Amino acid sequence: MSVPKAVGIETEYGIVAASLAPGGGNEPVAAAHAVVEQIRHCGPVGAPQRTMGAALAPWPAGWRTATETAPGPESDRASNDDGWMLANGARLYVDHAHPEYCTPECLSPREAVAADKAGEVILERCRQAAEPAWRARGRRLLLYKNNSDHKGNSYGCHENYLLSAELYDDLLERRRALVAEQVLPFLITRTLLSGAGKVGSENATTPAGFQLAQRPDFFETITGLQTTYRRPLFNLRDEAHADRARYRRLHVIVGDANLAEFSTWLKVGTAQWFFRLLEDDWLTQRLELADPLRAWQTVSRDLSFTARLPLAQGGAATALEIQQRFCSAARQYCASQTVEAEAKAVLDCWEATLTTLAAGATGWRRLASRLDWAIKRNLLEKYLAARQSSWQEVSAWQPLMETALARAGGAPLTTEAISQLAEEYGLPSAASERQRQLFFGLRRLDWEYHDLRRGPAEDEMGLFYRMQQRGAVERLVGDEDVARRVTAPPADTRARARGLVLQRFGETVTWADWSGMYIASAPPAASHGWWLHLPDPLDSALPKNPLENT
Amino acid sequence: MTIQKRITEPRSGKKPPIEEVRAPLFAPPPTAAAEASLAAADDFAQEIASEQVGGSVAHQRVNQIDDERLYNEGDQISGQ
Repeated sequence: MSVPKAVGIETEYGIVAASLAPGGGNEPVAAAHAVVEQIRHCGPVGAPQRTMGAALAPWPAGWRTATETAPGPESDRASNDDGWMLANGARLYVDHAHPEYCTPECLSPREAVAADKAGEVILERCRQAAEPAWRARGRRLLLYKNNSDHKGNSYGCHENYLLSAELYDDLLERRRALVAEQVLPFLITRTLLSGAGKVGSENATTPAGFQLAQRPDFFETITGLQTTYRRPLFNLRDEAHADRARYRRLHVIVGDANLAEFSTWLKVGTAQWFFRLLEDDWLTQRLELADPLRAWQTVSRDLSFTARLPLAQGGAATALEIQQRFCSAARQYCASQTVEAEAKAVLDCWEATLTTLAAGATGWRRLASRLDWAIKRNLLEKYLAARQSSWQEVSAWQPLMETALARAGGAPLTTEAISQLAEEYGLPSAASERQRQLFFGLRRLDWEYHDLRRGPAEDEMGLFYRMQQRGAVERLVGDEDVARRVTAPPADTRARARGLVLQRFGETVTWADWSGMYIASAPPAASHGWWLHLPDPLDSALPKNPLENT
Repeated sequence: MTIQKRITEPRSGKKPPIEEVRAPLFAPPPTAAAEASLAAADDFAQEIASEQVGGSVAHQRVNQIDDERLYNEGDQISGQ
């Protein structure tokens, strides 16, 4: 029987601290720190946390006094990446130049949606609190939940899934073929469900009008440890943050940051299904893609869902067909095993979504209130139609526009500059001004979709939230559920124990990690402090203090 | 109260401070909610589509800058 697939979502938020006057430069790192620092005033109680990433030396779950031997961070690599472990079980810190929010460990996809949405609320509160000081200095402060700046730079939204140590070792050592034959085909074709949608292409990849996902242009290798350069489809970061003998954490970096609750729910829910099937040895059909990197870019650009992806063992299959095979395996599993009600609901919606996408060229429009890419595509295609344009035309003009922008070197792009290049690119120069407007207008709407502002006034609200307020986006969790996850952790993972300690001791917790924390009784009298070790992500109970009854 | 006495589970009889999310699950379409949302999505998309590029667009209300300047500032989003 497989290990319950606890999941956490890490989101790096895009941040703009632009000058209100032209040419005022930017201060993204200072802005990111300014936003995160506001958690002291407007978030759940947290603890300053140092040496994140250093695992606690192994010892059984529970409490140890600081005078005992063994406890403490295994590594002494103090990273200075100060951040916060929060009383809702989450983590908030500055990653390079981005505020990053990591949800607590969640068991159900519904909990993951609520925890992810709580992150949006917390970040936006922090932004609002930080903005007046930046406004006074003549700067706007905005946050974006997306993965691309449309200029060749990407930042991530990573998922972490709890696997058994046995499966993890299989994937990395004993049965490495599973990565190519099962994991990559699933994750690459999951783009149909989880993509956030993007105008254009980046990183010198094939021009595109619209893509289903934001990240495929930025992946360049199959496996690797890194996440910010030569990004790998399968990340090998082996940081369990748990008892390694029993559990491992699979770090999935090929997903998009989603705003639509249905997208997040399906992204997480189908991945839980997939890893359950894999761990229970339920997947027997080899689906190895001949060229996974190219296949992902193809899936992302295929707006008709009919592109056939060459398979390593010969033949080809569409992304829909590959997803349908995984979905069918889950249906067979469901028929012979007892599964939770929510897993059944995920399976029903997974199946229905694939059927809808398979229903002709316009079937996807039935998902234009559920999936991020479909919501955005519907919005932008109406914008294009009103201007008698199409994705094919936008794609055809992309190389010219990129050349013109490069030549302009940051100066305003004139119609004349575009017109001068039109002949060279075999495009009608008479369309230059219209194309200039389309190029910037489409990208503006794309960014606005991910703007984290939530009003209350409509002119202080991102496009996604405007749509949600109008009832144009289906919801799974209500504001009440999200508010609960702003202040309290999920009840069924170790996040609960972490949250209980942080709620009660706040800043006397002077060190915290996913698997443990240190409580100083009277800082800096560390000799009277206590270490708490929480090596089991599935154990929500707060270990009994051995001295409680003494 | 000493720390070691305070670091414990809530006393029995006390309401735990943590509650589960109990929202209803999604159901496969067509549902009444899905149909209503799709209609609202189309209305909203038409509204956005009818805005004048470079004119009184929502973006200008929101960001107080034009589309091209937003694009040129876009690299700031990634902290580059």
